[in-house]
Amino acid sequence: MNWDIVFQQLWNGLLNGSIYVIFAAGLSLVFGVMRVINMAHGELTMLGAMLLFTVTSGLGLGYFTGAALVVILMALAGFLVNRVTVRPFLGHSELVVILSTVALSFMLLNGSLVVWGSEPKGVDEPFNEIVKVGGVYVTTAGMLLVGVCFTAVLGLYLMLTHTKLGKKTRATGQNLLGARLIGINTTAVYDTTLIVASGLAALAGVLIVLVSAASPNLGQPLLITGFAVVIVAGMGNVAGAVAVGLFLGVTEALFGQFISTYYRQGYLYVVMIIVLLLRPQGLFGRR
Amino acid sequence: MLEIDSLNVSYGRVQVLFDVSISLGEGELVTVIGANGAGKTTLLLTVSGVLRPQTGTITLAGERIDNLRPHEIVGLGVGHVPQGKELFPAMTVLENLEMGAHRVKADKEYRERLERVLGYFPRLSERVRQRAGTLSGGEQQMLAIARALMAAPRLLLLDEPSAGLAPIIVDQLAEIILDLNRAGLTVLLVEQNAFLALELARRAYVMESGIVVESGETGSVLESDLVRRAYLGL
Ligand SMILES: Nc1ncnc2c1ncn2[C@@H]1O[C@H](COP(=O)(O)OP(=O)(O)O)[C@@H](O)[C@H]1O
Ligand SMILES: [Mg+2]
Repeated sequence: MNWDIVFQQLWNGLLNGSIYVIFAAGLSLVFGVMRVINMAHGELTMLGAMLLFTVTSGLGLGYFTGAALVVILMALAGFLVNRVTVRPFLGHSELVVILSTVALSFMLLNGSLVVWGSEPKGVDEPFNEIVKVGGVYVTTAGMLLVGVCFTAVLGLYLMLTHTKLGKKTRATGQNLLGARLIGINTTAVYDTTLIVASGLAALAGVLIVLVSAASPNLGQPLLITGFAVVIVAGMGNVAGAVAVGLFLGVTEALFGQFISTYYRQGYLYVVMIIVLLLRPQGLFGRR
Repeated sequence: MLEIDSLNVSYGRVQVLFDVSISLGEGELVTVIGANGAGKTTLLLTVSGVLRPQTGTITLAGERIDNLRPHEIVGLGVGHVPQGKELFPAMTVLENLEMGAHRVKADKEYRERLERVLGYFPRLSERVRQRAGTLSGGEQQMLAIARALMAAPRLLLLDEPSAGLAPIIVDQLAEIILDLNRAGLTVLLVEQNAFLALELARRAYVMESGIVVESGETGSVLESDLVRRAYLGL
């Protein structure tokens, strides 16, 4: 066994897994708090990547300034996502909300194809050095990606468990009527939840650009992977999504290296189906 | 304190409350009794702003509240202990209480309230670190009341607090409700258990199919044939 290859794939898996983690955390947050399956989450990440391309290449902003600007703008757009595609449909069946977010995702995808075309776009990052650690090639950009992902998810966790806003958010997710009757402004909680989730989605987008090109087509596969993570972890379980996202990222890379590159995507679905058969509520889900 | 005037409430096309009028003076403990489906829960949810009336007005201490949102109504001092308790099951007892007092900014005030509220419920203070979902039915009811009290309400709406509880627990709850009322809290108690309600309250309303059919001093309501037959089985 060539251990350098194993470690190289562990690193590659860590890069993918970190993106899965931050992506699935936002998806899981929205479901956990609002019982809404946000089918547009993938396109929000895509939009984050494409907007970063535009503000860096078009406006000439640096990577960091551009990324901060894009994440803030997309977070604010989360308010509109709630008010336009979620809130008007909340009293109706869950299917209606799913369809309205599907509609949003189609609009974002097709709009982006019109604006940017389907060619992948590279974004310049000024710090992309390659470092050899042992026998493994690691990029500084990759390290930044992993660091930012975990900082963001840890921040989300601390916010949910230690701040008043976070506790009100969890309370609303656990019992909407109970939250309203003790005077929590649940409309504001829902707005904030989509603002945070949309900001996290865009953050995933500006980080993806560190390891691959920006393309209008990156949202769809990510959404499906995100669902695999969230379903395996248990819907709405943010902490579980972190563990599962990392695990799937790493094992997927090892599977691709040692078993089959061709069936690499299929691996995720097989894991998802097996977990659903054995534990329909997900690994960390409660009944 | 609370003035409900000619309230009409519907779910979609189905009207559930018909010209309901109820009033509570400051410091009173008033009960609304009625069989399952009479519209008691609907009445309380409308007072709290979760449901909107078709017509009619609700006035709290002189201020119209029937067009306000639930969190604004809580802010004006209305506490609501709902029928299903509606706790936060994965949060601890303490976190549930903390949520009840989420408007309180000062730490000192929060601690004072916590101490005062837990004073009424010694069983809860032994279980502050336990998750709410793991409490017994009686403890959950106590937590639901305690959580509402953490907002320091002027008016407390209680929706069938005795439902499904053992008689000894119901007695304890009755004591606590009386204590709270003696300490100055205005209480609107909704019950199917007419014995308990009539024992606690000085004034009572009787509802049937969304209509107030009887009201007055508890003694005279007790006397009425209707109540004797329908609710007391006499
Ligand atoms: N969400 C709802 N949608 C439609 N009808 C409802 C709803 N909730 C209650 N009802 C109906 O309204 C009537 C009054 O219900 P409710 O207020 O719960 O009565 P009570 O609390 O006195 O048992 C009943 O006929 C019930 O079936
Ligand atoms: Mg009821």
